[in-house]
Amino acid sequence: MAVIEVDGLHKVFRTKTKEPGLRGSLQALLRPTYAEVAAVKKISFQVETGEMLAFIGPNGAGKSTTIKMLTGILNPTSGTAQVLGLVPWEARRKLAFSIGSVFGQKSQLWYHLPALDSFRLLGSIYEIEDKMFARRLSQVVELFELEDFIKTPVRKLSLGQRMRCEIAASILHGPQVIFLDEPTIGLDVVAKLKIRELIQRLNEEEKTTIFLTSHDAGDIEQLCKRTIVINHGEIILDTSTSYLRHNYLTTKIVNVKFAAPCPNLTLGNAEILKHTEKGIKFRVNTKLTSIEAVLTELFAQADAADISVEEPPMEEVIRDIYARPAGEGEPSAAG
Amino acid sequence: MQLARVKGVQKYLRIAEISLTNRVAYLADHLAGSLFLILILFIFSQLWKTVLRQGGQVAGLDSTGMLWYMVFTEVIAISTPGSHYLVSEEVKSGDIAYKLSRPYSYTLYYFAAHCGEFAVRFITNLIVGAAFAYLTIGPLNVPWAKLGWVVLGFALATAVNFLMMFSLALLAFWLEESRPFFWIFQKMTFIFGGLFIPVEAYPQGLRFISYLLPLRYGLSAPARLMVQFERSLLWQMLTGQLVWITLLGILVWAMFQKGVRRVHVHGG
Repeated sequence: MAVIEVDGLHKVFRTKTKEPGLRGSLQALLRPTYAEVAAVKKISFQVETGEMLAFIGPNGAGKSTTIKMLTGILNPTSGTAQVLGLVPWEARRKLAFSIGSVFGQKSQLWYHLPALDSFRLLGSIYEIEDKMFARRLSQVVELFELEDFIKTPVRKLSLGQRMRCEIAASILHGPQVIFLDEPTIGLDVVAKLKIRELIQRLNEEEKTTIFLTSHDAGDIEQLCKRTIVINHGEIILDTSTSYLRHNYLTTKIVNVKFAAPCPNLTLGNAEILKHTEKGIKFRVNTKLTSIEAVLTELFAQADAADISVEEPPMEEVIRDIYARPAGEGEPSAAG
Repeated sequence: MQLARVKGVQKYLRIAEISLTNRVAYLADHLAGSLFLILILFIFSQLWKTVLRQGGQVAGLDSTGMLWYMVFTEVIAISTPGSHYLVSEEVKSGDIAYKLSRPYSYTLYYFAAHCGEFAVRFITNLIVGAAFAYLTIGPLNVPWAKLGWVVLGFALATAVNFLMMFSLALLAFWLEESRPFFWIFQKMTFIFGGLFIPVEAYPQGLRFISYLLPLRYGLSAPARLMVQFERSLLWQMLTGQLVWITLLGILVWAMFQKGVRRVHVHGG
């Protein structure tokens, strides 16, 4: 059963334009001109109950605008959408009781107070009955392992701990659908892994439908079975994440710091992006060769002090999608 | 149905409570800020002692009455939180959108938060101001039997002040910069709100303008009532406050409804 149904959703923003300089400022004051920007262009898709969907794209692609329309914050210019059977912008407050949202760069916690105070406040805001709230709180504390820092003022928490509290805060009222907008932004590798693990558990244990936007291909690969790629407001790919992984997330960026200076290093099966005496950065196409094979070649010439592997930037993935003819070997979108 | 209504009210009480608790974290900052209050009161205590030393009065208040009057107007003025700056910034940046996704009224959320913060600031400033006035000029003849009415007047004054500033903050829906309006509003409050002198002492023209505006119902009227309780002043104040709360409430509601359609959040 579909919990989110989107049909031809379209959003146009009207922005004021201004010529440069004083003359432009005066003109804008007397005769303001506006430009119309289509942030989301007639997109359609469905999300099934309990699904974890990745909704990805570069900056300005229309991800957050879509989430804002699906949570009822923004009215669309045209098109329709239903979330849990409700039209979000017509029943925003009613819908708020059944959905949760986390916006990675916006906090819903009171900065100088312990997260527990914010949780209690949210319990009242979502009108949760006292006994039920106590039960729910202990479940969430256990699920997100918050016991050690729930009474610590938010300002003293690490970014990873704060994000755990943010997600916990948004599921206290037991939402059926949760919108996560860049939940791992700014986190270190360890914290990212923890957040991913917790989102996974949330989906498995509470059967919560997850709508995830992220810049981080790692989030998507690890969490979601299905991915929608959006660019310039249009859906350019709606496919299974495994298809995406095998066909588009095929390059990895590897950074290696040398244990001792190594000025001349050659790698036959990788594209060297940067090479200094202290380290090397190269790109590997995992469809052609494995990272292991390239590293073996590297270890034969130098000792490594530190290694990190990065996903390709989202812009690169998008470029790759555009570079291929539409529908080339692409399976239909997983439901 | 009734339970839902209770829950509906309870959330705003909880917002006020958490805002109050949050403010307690800044108590030391508040007390430091109260030094400014002492400085102002010291200057005016010297002024009124000199000007009114031979039994003179201003609008029926002697030097003791004038200083205590100023304790209350100043305490209200400096205790009023800057929620309007926050709201204005939220509207401008589009962050208001994130609050709209929660099941509460945006206006009532800020009113509750405003009340919680005001309570902490008002109590700490009042303790400091009253202690200073008591030590320098003597006790106030508190109208204990009518104190409930006076407290009601102060509570309604908080609502009047909030609505005035909230409506100015909502101008950010249409204007790039609403700070100049806050500045003008503050200066108008000094004069027409009767921050330093009760508006009853003004020349007729100025007094007339002051009577037409809501400013004195948020400042001068409750302070005057506390210092010199009069039944006629009480009814006049309560009527004025309720009328202005209704009018400003309608204005805020209309502005918000119109403005929120302009919410124009970019990103993503």
